[in-house]
Amino acid sequence: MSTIKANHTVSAKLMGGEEAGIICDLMEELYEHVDIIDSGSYVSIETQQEELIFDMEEIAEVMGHSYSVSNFLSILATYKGFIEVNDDNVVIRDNG
Amino acid sequence: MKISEAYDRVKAIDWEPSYITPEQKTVETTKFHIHGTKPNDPFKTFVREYCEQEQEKDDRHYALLEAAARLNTGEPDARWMEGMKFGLSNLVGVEYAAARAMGRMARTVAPVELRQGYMMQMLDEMRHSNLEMNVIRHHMRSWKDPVGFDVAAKAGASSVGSSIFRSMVEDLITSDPVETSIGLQVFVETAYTNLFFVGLSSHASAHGDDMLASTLLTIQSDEARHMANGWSTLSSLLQDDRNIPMIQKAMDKWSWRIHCSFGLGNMLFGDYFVRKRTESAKEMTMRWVFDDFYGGFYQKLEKFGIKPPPHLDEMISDLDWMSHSAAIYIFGAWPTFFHRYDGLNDDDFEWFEKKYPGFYEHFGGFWEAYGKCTDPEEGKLILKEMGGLPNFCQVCQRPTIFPRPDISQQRAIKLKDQTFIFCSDGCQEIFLEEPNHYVGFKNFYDLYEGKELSEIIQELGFVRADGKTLMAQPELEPKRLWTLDDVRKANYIVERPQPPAFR
Repeated sequence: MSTIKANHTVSAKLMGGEEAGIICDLMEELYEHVDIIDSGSYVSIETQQEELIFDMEEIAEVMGHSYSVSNFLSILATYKGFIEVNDDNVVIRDNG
Repeated sequence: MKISEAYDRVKAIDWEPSYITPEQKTVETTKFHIHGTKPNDPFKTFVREYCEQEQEKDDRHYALLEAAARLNTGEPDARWMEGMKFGLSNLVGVEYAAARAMGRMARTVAPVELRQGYMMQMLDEMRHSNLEMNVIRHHMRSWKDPVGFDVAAKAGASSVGSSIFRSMVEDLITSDPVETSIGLQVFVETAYTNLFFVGLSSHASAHGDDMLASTLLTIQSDEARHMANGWSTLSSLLQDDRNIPMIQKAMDKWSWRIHCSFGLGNMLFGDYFVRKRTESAKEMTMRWVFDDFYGGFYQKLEKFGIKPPPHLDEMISDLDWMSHSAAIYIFGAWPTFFHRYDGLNDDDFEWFEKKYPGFYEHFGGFWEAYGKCTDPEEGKLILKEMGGLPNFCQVCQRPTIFPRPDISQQRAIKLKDQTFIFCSDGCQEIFLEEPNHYVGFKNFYDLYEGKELSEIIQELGFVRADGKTLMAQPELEPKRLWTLDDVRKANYIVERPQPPAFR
């Protein structure tokens, strides 16, 4: 494409708040390749790797209570990449 | 039962009626080959889960609104709040039109997975227009000058500046229903609303408008599903090679169309309605639209034979001047709007010159003149001083001053003895592809040519409760508010400019 460079960043942008903070901490702990960017009203979880996996069991463990895919989708403001919503995880990939 | 299993079971409930043909089952047909394709619905949402999710989103959002109404968290920034009278007025109409578009698409496209996604999106869009109207209602009760918020929905349907967004949605809801998916779900919702709803939520928050920040984010959380709907539709279409030329044509059209409308809105709001700046609107658009969407999404379509849009380079170079050209139009025509304007100050000049080198050379003169035309006692209307409004593009309804007034690409053509004016190659090409789609749009001159400006303001209803003071004002805190009498004394009669050179 003429002047546009290929961009392979995969990201999830979560609405700012306590849940987003806990999920960011978890993702940083689980994955070395994840970057967190705080933009005030929202927070971006990014990677240059092929995919980001949000596992609801792992999130529930650090939340201290059950946490469903529906709960996660309620704070997922947007994403970059191709999303797949499963029973107990949400995956965002660079390729669809 | 796993979601995927339940999803397959639900899909199996769909049936083809034997008493009518597949064509009779749909309200409208489509030129695209989509019947029989196997769509992938990445969200796999059921009605029950959908309702639960939306309930949770609403519970969280309305709790915040309740708190904001109860607590005094400080006064939001006036430049932002006044600008949002114009911003929200347009947004409500766009959302409502999107709901109508989804209804059409759900009655047209055959695969059940897509229909299900469109139906939920239709409900989302209604939710969004309600959320936005609720912000307007809140601001009417809490903002120090509520005038303008009270006419926002009506103004979105009548103000000259809103023509840009009205023409966009009218084009969307009257195109081939599957093409609508490409325009709305791929370009508006995947390329541009991320910047608007997520990027601008930071601006809303920084300017003390927590109400709108939360509203924008909860809306975008639905848009995330709409982006997936767009990809589902597109990936279904890409399964049939006969669709490729039609997809390419739709991509070429809507890339330009949305750049000129939603893209322009993003640029204007991001540069001119904010005071606390971190990134310029150009930087935000480059990151969210051109790096993320064109670099991260569109480029992946090349393997299917989809080429870059023909005006991609022009769209990027437009960003240097787009917000400034839009601003001199919106600020120059201030009496025909319904909010208070905040002209540029020295801090703004310094910021713009740093972010857009050459800004003052090209636009400084306008702003110096604008500053001299704010006092009603002087009786000078900037609109008259700058020689009236320019022509408007028959397709995008922008004034023909883009990318910058001195290098405008405006041109005219004759078709069946009628003159049509365009702002650019992009809009002229779109018009020539389907002229009947655009010939009927009435622009500012079609409606108001020959009328004196105060008559137009009255006709639009942009007058305060006393029946004489204008809703719009050229300053945030003027010594005295402009009235219809002040405008009348300036004696500005709307005259249609000569058409530009014919091509």
